[in-house]
Amino acid sequence: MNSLDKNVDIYKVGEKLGYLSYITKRYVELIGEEETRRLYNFNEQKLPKTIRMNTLRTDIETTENLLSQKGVKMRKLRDLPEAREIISSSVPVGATPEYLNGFYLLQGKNSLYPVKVLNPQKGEIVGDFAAAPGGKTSHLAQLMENEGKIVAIELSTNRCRSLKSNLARLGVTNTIILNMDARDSTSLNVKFDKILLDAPCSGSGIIVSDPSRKKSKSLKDIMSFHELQVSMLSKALEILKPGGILLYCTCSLEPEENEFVITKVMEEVNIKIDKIDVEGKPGLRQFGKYEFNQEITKAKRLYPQETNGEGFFIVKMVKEK
Amino acid sequence: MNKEEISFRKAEEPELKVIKNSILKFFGKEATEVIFSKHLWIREGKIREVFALSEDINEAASSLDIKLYSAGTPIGSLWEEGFQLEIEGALMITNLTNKKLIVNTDQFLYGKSIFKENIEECKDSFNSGDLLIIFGKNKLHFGVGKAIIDSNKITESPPNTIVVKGYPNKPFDRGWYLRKGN
Repeated sequence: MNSLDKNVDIYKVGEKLGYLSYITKRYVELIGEEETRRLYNFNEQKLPKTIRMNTLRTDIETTENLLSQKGVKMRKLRDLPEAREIISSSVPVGATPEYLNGFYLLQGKNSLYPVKVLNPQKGEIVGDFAAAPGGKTSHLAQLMENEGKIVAIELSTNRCRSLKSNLARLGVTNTIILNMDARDSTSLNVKFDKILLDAPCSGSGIIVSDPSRKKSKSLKDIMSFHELQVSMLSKALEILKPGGILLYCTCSLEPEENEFVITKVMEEVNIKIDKIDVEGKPGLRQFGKYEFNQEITKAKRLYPQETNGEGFFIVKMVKEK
Repeated sequence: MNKEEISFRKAEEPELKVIKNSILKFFGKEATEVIFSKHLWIREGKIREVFALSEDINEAASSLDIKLYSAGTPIGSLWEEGFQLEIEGALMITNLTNKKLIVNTDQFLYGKSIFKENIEECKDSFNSGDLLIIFGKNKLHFGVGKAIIDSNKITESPPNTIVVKGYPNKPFDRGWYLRKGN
């Protein structure tokens, strides 16, 4: 079935493609029927592979040359000088000696934006509050040139193991890993200059790489994530220095996990939202009958079908002094 | 099932002594100084993993009044037999030693042994039992391995003689990150 065919009812398209019925209903409400068709069409395609060159190990040119010698064809991505999209490859890019040396890692294009927007600096104390498997943690370290301190918090012990392994492979040296619930981080007695909260979410923005999500999450699940996200964000803001920056992101398109979370937290904590220079649509003004804090339009929604990548919501918050 | 009890703590004097003696024996004074320019910590569970921490991270790790999972760079592990240098520890000292073996195959990255036919270049002579840092094409770091034959006996040895034995279940080669790291 061609989801772009306007003669076919969008709800039938959703059903045929395996989406739970509430999903199609809310996407039509969120982005309209035509965009929902485009989104569903995109989710049936193969997402282009992208890599991030890891300058903690070697310079971009060296990695590019080594991969070219292996027959890996790549192209540059706009605004992301350290990233390349893989056009074709005669070798498995996730298992080359260069990969094992940490010269690069496989990382979705849109997942590079949160760390770039947070813009960590050498010497800062940066928290990464749902850190595994470490793609964004290592990106933080790369921008900090392994100077300063990163506290990487991960709840799952198994995922801490892969976090430790990935950071070692990528040459990250300025990180402390804590196996704990980030909501308990107030007990650390540390005040952070910057915090990255890539919150656990329902993952509706990554159906293109995880089609099981079409059926696996109910509205009730989304509300559970909402509660968790509000709680994690509130706690994170408590231990952010006045004037400090917190980058909240999810790979979910659900307003309950994004604009609703920020609105709720803004009722209790004095924060302002900074404009960010990233592709995508502004945060929602309203959803259904609910009107959000207008500051939230400074956030960005990266829809997969528009950005040729995973769906993301990104917002940069500054704690008032 | 009981969860493994892990502690992450500063290495104690006897442990530091074992690590120092091992690196000194295999790689000399300069390599030892590089490792000991860092603060060494131990992640103790079923095995004792050794981590190297920078001054900043050591200070931060010491000040946190909470159980740490790990910090810094894993460089090796401590066993009853002594200290075993592993992938990242080997990389840290790579510019300070000639105990290097360059091979013409990626097989070592699969935890497989290095045969005499695989040797492209050997920077220095070595004896059986010596630790060697292994490199592949384009001088890419492959890991660390123990020689099981003297270098001056390789030429006269029969075909398919193993020079460095592979250990697929240990973090000696970079392929371990794919096999066991995740």
